[in-house]
Amino acid sequence: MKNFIYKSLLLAICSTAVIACKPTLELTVVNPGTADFTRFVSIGDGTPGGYSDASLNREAQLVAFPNLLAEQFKLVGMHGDFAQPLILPYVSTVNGHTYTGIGFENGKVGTQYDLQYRTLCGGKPELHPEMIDSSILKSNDLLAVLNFKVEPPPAGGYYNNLAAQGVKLIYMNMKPNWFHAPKTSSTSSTYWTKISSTLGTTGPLASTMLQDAMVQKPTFVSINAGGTDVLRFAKSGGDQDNGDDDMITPLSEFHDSLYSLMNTLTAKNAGKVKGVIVNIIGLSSFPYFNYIKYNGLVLTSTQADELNTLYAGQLTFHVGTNNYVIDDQSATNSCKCRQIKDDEYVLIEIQDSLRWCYGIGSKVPLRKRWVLDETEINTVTTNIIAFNSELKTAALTYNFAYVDGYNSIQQVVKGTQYEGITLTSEMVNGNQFSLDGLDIGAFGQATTANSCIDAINKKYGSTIPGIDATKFSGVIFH
Amino acid sequence: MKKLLALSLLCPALMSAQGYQVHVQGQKQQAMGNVGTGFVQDAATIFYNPGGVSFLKENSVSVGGTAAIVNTIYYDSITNTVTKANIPKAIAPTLYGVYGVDSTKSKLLQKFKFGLGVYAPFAGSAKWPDGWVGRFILKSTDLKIVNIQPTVSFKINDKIGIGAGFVYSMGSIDVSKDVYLTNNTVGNYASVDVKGKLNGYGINAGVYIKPTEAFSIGLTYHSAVNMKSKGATAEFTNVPNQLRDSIIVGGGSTTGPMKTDVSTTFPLPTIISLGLGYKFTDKFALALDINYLGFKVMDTLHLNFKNGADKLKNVADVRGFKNTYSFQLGGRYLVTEALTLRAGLRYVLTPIPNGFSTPDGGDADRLVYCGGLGYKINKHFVVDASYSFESIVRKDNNHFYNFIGTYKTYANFAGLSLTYNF
Repeated sequence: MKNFIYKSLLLAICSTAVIACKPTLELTVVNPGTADFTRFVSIGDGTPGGYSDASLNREAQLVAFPNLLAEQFKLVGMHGDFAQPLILPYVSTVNGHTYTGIGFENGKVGTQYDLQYRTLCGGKPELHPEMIDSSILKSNDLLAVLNFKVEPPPAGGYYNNLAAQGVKLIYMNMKPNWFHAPKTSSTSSTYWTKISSTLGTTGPLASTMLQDAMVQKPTFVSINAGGTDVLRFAKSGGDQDNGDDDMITPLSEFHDSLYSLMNTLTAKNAGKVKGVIVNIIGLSSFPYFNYIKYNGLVLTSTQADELNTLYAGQLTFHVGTNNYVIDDQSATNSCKCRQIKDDEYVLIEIQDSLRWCYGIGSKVPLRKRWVLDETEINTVTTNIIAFNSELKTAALTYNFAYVDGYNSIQQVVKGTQYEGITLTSEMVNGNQFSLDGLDIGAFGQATTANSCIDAINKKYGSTIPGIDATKFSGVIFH
Repeated sequence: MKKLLALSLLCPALMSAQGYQVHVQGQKQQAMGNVGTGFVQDAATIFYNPGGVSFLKENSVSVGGTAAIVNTIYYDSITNTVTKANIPKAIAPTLYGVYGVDSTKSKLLQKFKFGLGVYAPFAGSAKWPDGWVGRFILKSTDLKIVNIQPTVSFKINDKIGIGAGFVYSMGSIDVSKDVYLTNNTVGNYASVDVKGKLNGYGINAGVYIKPTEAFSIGLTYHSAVNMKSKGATAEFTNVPNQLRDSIIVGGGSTTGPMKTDVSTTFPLPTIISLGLGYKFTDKFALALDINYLGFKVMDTLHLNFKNGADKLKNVADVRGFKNTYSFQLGGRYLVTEALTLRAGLRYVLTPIPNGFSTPDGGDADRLVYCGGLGYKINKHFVVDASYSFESIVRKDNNHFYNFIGTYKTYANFAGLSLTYNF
């Protein structure tokens, strides 16, 4: 009855014609602008490749931003599906474990971060990202990693997403000797040779990433590379313990590779091939470098006294928080050490050792390998800025859209929101990065996709809608 | 090493409700754009100007209700999608009674009128679909407030009347949103629902002056009411096990929703109205109201967690509300002895500055069209009806949430009242 009254009332009111009951708002008509999205190819490194939590896994590949972009590009004329080399679940013959991802970090295989409770320094248990290589990779099941398989490309076709973890910009036009395969594994089994079009062909016989892009005659290309050219150095604490792979690419070489790449991509259809370039974000944005705070050494008075005695007045300690002790060969004191400066970084990978809380980083200085000191930070930052300047100029020169992630992430570092979701550069709380602290997570991928769309729309006058990033999670809790 | 999980993440922002102030206190006044401060017509004057009540000629009892049919949609600029809110249709009731002692013995007593008013000054409700783009800002809101106002009015002389009422406000608030904490699978988020009863006290006082038979002027002061919560709770659902202890102490030991006590205040604004009325002829009159709306008290809304939830940071939800004004103009024409036609316009300046719009309102400066009629059935009974329509369009970028889009609301209010005069 109540309903009837309402309906009658509504009808009576709405039928007076001058009055409207149901508001409407016009949707923007979707159009591709001056770009052609028919054949879309993605090249780059781990981020577009879907590498996260220090692992390449299927879930992360599915939310890699090029794949999200492809969904939107379908609205403006992209043909076919966006083929990705998705990792296939692998059941180990050694221990029966099912591996859904493959990680390769610091010579370890099968690595992946997960969020777990750990007790630190006798305190309360707290959540921390844990490298779960040892628990997952039972009986050192190398085979699992070496034999992982990926979904084949469509018959007679190629992968649209060619991005691969570990690829430097200067590698994209090289034969795949570059790939830093797990050190303990045979170099014959690399990720790229599994996905290059000369399938199963190894070493110099395999095609290059650029070749596999060009063979598809792309009309639109996303490029997210260059980060690895500088961040591997930062990740090694400036120690370059993986040799050349950890070396910062010389600027001239970066420049030449970039222009050779852009020339090749745009040569055939001069002026017609369009695309988007995503630049490199800054060091301070990564939880990898800010998760372990410089002053995480918390001392009791007994410990402080002990350290003061140990370092014989060369370093001073007090009750409460202290800056960690690090190696410094240039130091003039006898221990060749000093306390880390407030704006220097302790790398996240040392966290297992720091669990002793009182020992490493206090009684024993932190090795240089686990620290990015002021000089190294400056070197890295200078190079990131120089590389970004190259990327920006190239984007302008070749009429590509340009995503200035470096600048927009500064907003995130300060703390901001995205449709009610808090964003910072913090681990877990920050919502942008995966648990390895270097690679963005699902939500970061979604917002990157939206930044690309925004840049593309501005560049080419297109009106591609963005994706609903709120559907993508930051960190998954259990 | 840094502690994970800054619990500020979990703050359920406390929303005031869509529409905020509702104009559903009297059918005759509503039909004339909501004028009534300086133009006395009936018992609803208890709300509009307690000073004018003493000028009412008859005793009366009046029962009424206004149906609100409100539709709101949101256009999200990023995804180029439109979402429709489900706004429950509601009826706001009114009840007024005015009584003067017809005493030949006491001339003093003759100057008094006593009244009681029950009406809804603020209300609002919206429920957005599950998984909508603004889910981390607001999922649903429901605010209901009813005032009960016993009133005394005193006619100082033929030209001046004063009056005051004690206002008891009671109501409830229920606000929910999703919390960006993923429980095991992508897109499976926690959520929080804050609800409780509210009550508070205030006054409503006015003065009414009638220098000539044709001209009248009124001033009314509706005091702010600091609504306080009673038995309010925040209930968290779908919280990942790893985080239960971080939200409520001891929360890890159980499963299911987690509840904690909260307290909040919900300040209702001071409203000062100045009104004029002028009878051009016996049949035709115009009236004007200018209102000062002290919405700045709602500038920041607070939500405090009580014991057991020490780890949760108290919420200070900055709404940015500012004080504002509204202007109302209405006319009345007596077609016959029995039939009266009324019409009016209301222009409201929104209290919400740019950058502060949220999915509970999408309020904007707006023009409201009003109309209605009255019919005198016989010596005792009068029926009045009113109708108003407003279209509210607000394009905004909420600076805090970075929520960019356009809200559009069509609000229809249709009401009816029956008055018994004696």
